[in-house]
Amino acid sequence: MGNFKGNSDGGSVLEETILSVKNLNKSFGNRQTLFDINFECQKGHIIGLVGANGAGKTTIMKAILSLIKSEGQVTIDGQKSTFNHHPILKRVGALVEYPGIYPYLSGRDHLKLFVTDSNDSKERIQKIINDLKLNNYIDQKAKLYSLGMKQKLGIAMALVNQPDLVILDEPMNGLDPQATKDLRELILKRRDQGMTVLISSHILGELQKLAEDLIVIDHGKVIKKTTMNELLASNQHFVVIKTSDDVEAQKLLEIVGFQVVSQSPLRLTLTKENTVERLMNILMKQQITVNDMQHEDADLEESILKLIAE
Amino acid sequence: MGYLYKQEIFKLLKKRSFWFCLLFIALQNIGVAIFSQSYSKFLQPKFLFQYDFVSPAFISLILIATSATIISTEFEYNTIKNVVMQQYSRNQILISKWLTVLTYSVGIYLFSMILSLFDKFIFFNNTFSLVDKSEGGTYLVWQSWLISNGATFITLWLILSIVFLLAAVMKKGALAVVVGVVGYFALEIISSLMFVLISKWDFLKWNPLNFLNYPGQLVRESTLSELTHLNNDQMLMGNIIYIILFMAIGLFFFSRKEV
Repeated sequence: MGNFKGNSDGGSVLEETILSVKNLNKSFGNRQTLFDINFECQKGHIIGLVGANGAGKTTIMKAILSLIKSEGQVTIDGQKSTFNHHPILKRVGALVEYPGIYPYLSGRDHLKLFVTDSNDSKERIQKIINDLKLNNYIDQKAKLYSLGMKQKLGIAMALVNQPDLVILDEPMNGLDPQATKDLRELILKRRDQGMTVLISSHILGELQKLAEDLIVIDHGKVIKKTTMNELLASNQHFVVIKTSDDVEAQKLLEIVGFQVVSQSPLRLTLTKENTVERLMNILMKQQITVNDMQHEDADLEESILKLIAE
Repeated sequence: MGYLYKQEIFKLLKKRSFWFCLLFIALQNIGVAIFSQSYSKFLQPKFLFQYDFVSPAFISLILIATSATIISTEFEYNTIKNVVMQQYSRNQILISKWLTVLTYSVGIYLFSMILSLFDKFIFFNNTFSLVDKSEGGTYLVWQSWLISNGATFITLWLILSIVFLLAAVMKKGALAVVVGVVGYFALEIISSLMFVLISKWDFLKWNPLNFLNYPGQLVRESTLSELTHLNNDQMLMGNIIYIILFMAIGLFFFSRKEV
């Protein structure tokens, strides 16, 4: 069950798999939408599920949650979960597509409805209300809620039972910047307490701040399983410079093998050979002064777009 | 399972329409009693009492709508996902909804029966006695009252089982409501035609609509059983078998439903 991964200290820690998806296939009629999906999620990680619209992210989440029939095997913390037998989902919280809200119930009623019976149910409800700052409207009927308020309530419902695994499909939809930040902080806090999060989001900048592991989906297939650090490290790096003579500098640098990406400002690709040091040496020899210099790294968005384009 | 049932009861009690319906039944029941007191020449209070002052007709409409919407609104509000992604199976989900409507139906029947007793002792204490002979039957008034309540309850569930089946097969509640309501009133409209057909082709007596005659036949056995071609025991068993059959088909479809 567990697999070993080296940590930064050079030692090794035992990592447990909480979610395992094996050979997942799904067809709607004659149209196959998922093709042999395989991946694992380790306990206490935040895993980003990334892909274009219609790539199959939501379908994968629905299959894990037994909302739709599928072929293959879904195992959560060692227990198989099937379409009609999934007691292990007791330990899973989720928000898939848009939140399901009963208009005649208040926000608090929704939380009361789905909280599991225990001595601390009330405290858990109040805690999630405080964490997501729902206090101002939690006792109003949900039919009066805005899109963002409904979304926050949906997230609160997914998290109220403090599940071991949370599946969030585009959770930032409709959230304002403050609410997005609150949610990010809450997810990170819960992750630190051992919660695993499988999250999809088309706001890649947000995902970059959250996810440690990445699964890239395209046309119903997993095209890449990696970590955020690895993916970003494999990105292209650029340097943007302002010199006393940009035209001359460009000519020179092109001759010695630098790739110029844009001219004003002058943006160059850095490689193992073409380093900043080499660039500076060449320009100094020709007495061209560098007035300003900035490093630029491609972000997650560019990496993902490149992967999908490949 | 108990948790699912608790969830369903919670949702039902939080609906304003639930309390409105109870209030409506109270006003309707007492209203008809007052009306029959004023027009006792045209409306026989003893007869009306046996039929709970017409409350079961309204209760049927309420429960048909409740049965259809308890499933269909989950799809309309997209809340079915929240319900299904819990640890329970689809079978347990549907059964918890049946049990909720069963609880509601028993509760609202008891409510209307208590109201009828209240009417009897407040408005008709001297008009008739519970131990009088009932109108046109061999039973005493209280016996007829219990028999008609029991029989209308069973036939109501025959209709509700069809409504549950349709609501489980389709995601839209409106059609299930229409079929339930039409089914409920269809008997009055097509019974004479149905009896002609039954007298011609005996096997037609087994059609589900014929079993809705159960309450009427219990009170006026000799006349109606000649037309339905079924005795009282067959009626009771037929109702129960059809209820189980329709519920089982509903369960079969619901347990395969993707959301």
